[in-house]
Amino acid sequence: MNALISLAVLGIALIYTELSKEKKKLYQWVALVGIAITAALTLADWGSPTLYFNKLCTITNYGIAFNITMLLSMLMIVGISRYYYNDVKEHVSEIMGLMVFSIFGGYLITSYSNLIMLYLGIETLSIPLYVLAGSKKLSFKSNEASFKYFVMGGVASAILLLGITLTYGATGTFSIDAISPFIASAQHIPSIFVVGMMLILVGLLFKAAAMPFHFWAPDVYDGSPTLVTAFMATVVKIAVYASFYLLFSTAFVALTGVWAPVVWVAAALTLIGSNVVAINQKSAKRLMAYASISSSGFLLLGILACNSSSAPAILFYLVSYVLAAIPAFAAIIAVRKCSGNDSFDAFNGLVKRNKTLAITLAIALISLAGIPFTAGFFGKYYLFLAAIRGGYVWITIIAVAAAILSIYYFFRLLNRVFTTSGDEAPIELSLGMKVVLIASSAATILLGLLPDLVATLL
Amino acid sequence: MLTILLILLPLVAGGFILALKEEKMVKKAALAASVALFAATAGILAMFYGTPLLSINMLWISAINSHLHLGVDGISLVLILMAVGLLPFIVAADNASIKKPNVFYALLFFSISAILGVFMALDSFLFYIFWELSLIPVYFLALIWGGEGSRKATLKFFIYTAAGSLLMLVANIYIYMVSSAHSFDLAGMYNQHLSAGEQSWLFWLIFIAFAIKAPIFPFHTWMPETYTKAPMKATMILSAIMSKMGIYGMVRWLIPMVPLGVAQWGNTVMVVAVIGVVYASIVTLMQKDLKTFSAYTSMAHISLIVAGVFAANQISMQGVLFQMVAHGVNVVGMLYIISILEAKSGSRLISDFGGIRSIAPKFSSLFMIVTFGVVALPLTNGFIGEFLLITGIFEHSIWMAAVAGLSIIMGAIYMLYMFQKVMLGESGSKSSMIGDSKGTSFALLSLLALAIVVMGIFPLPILDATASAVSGILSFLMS
Repeated sequence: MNALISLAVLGIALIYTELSKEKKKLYQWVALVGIAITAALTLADWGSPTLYFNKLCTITNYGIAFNITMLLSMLMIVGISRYYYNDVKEHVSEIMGLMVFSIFGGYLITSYSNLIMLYLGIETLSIPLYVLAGSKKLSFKSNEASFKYFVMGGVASAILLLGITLTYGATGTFSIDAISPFIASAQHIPSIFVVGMMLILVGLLFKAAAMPFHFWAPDVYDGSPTLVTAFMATVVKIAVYASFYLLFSTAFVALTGVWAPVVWVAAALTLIGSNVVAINQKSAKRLMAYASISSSGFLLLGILACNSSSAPAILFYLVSYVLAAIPAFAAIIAVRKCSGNDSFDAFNGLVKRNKTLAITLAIALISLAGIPFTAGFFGKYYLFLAAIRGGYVWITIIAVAAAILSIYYFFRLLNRVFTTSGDEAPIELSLGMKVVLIASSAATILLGLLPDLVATLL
Repeated sequence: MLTILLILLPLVAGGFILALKEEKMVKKAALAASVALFAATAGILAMFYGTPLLSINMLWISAINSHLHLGVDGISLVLILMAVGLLPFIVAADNASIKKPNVFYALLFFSISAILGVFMALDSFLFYIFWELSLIPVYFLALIWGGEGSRKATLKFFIYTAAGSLLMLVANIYIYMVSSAHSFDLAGMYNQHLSAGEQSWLFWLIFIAFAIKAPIFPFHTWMPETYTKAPMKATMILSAIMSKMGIYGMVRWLIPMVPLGVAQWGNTVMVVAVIGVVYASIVTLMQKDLKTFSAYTSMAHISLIVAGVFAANQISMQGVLFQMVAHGVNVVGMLYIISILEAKSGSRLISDFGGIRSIAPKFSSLFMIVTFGVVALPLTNGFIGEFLLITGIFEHSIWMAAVAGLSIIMGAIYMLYMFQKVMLGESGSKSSMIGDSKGTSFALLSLLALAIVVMGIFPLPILDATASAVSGILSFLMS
């Protein structure tokens, strides 16, 4: 609750920073202090579950863990932002403010106990994103991304809301704690309820960019400003999966037999489809877009398994993904700034242009590919473990095949970084970039050695 | 505790080398470090072998109950000594100037560190981690310092081996899940009493990972390209040491974990392995490049070793262990010689050489001893290994032994054919560039030759060291 107030204040403060003359220096410090205070207030609730807003929200350790992960991504994005916007004079702090408002929505859906709150939270999460996607006003692609995202996101929200309505019609309650008793006591499950549940599922799969509801994602990720893409690929994913698992592991857990096949098919399609398409990408940013879709496929394994190892597995995967994806996006930003594009060729001989960038990018890619001694390995490993524990051996084997494909395309990029030579112009990094890159690499390796640090939290 | 030290030593040595800048310094330091590493490792093993100081078992990841469990038995002992013992030769071979020498040598030491971890891990999860980890330094060695076209070759190599190990991972998780203790510990993994049906498919998931690494037919397609394109030292690590990881995995993990699977599929694998021996021998005969030539000879020998693993009796298994070490020594010897030829003449083509014996008699004699070792002539290490292997396979099946026995004959054909083309006969276009060996390279080659002969005459220390561990592993198949 306090954390929500502090987030709202931070968002407003960032928007007002725009009025200051020294805004480009100031906004970083405002953001850092605000994030630190919010993180402290968030953590203050650790271990003591509390109800808020007339039982609309229940703040639990589960929600707190995902909230902190969102703040972590925000922190890293703030660290890169100064470098990314070095030639932009206006609106930078407003963009940061919008991101904070989006996280506000994220906070609501990691800890909701009422379906209305889920809807409100998802809308609060999404609306700033529609603006953010179009924040590069003069870019045609950015505008297209914004419009596409808005239309598709609107459809998804409508489907979700329809699902919530039908569920309410069947059960007479919005409270997710009251739904499972309803299922348990019902003589037969009304079909309207099942339809409602399926529509909610489809709405969430839309938001999570899982196949076959992913078609908006590549264009939106590719068209949005890279920093916003990094935000969408991490924060949105964290919030959506936290809410996804929360709902299906509590309210609908008794009907696993009905929804699990759908999730199974979505997971299989996502794992195969996104990775196969990613193989032939020539642009690093588009590759990361497909990699982000592919990570949805892995996360669906955790939801599918729906057992005690799922929540820690999903959390660990998301943390490892944040620690690897944001540095990868940062590297794309840096290369793009110096070479003008982000094709694979622009990465040729990167090691000669900036050693820190090349080595941290290498660690990030190795982690994304899931090679041991990096956090990314355990991220995938725990999800496999949860899935096999849930009895889903085949989908795990599909996921393993997908992981092999991902090794292929990540290493195809990695190969270029250390061999051949291309653009020779050295790349300069700002202090913020260096800190983010080095700290995330260090954290990636630390979690690869001592995964217990995160895996035992939930 | 000391086992951790064994793994850390090469890591520290690598870190030390990384800090150096100048190429000459780096090379000297790397050689000195590798010799010191061998001395220290041998010393520690000699003093503390069999004591509890050489094992450690503590909780590593509580979420999955994985332990930092390391230990050294006879099998590990022999392989560790082989790996560390060959390192000075690998470091000293091929003295050509390279870019970023400090990173290069550091990676070499890092890979040894991970390989030692593989040979000592007694927790299957830890084993998997070291197994994958050993891949990364070698990947970068082959990628950055490899010859033309190394980018494609290394990508293929990495995908192949990573794919295999991920399948093994699935099998590992499955066994972990059905195990009563939910533990990755070796002892727990061994006694799962899985049904024959489960073991049947688990066998393949695990076997393929090891078969790719070894590699044996038909999982070898990554090998010729990678071995040829990789820098000489990386090829040495790959063919002399890392190929043993695959066989070690079969012995340590595959047989005891899925004994019924081994009983069901052992014969199939043996047939495939024996086909591999013949296939690789024939392909060897057609090679023009010496490095590719040695890649295929290596494959022929490895295939025979794998056949020995699945003959699964005391004699064949002892042969497996002995031949692993012998093959390591011989392969390094052969690649060392090739690297000398290449360094002096800039060529690896068999057709460029000939008549070197009259120009470089000492070099030629040492080459001959190595050749005899590979051919498995009596009084060389290859003879002991192959003799035990063939005897063991014979005990299992006469027919297989008959075909496998061809390997010795074919080995003699292709090795002597190669020796004749390169060393005897008329002088080739590049032969005149080869001077006789002296100094370091003479000393090191003599040491290798000496090792080949000494192991051939006094094989007992190695056989004694592994005997009890081998019978322990085989007891899983009997019960």
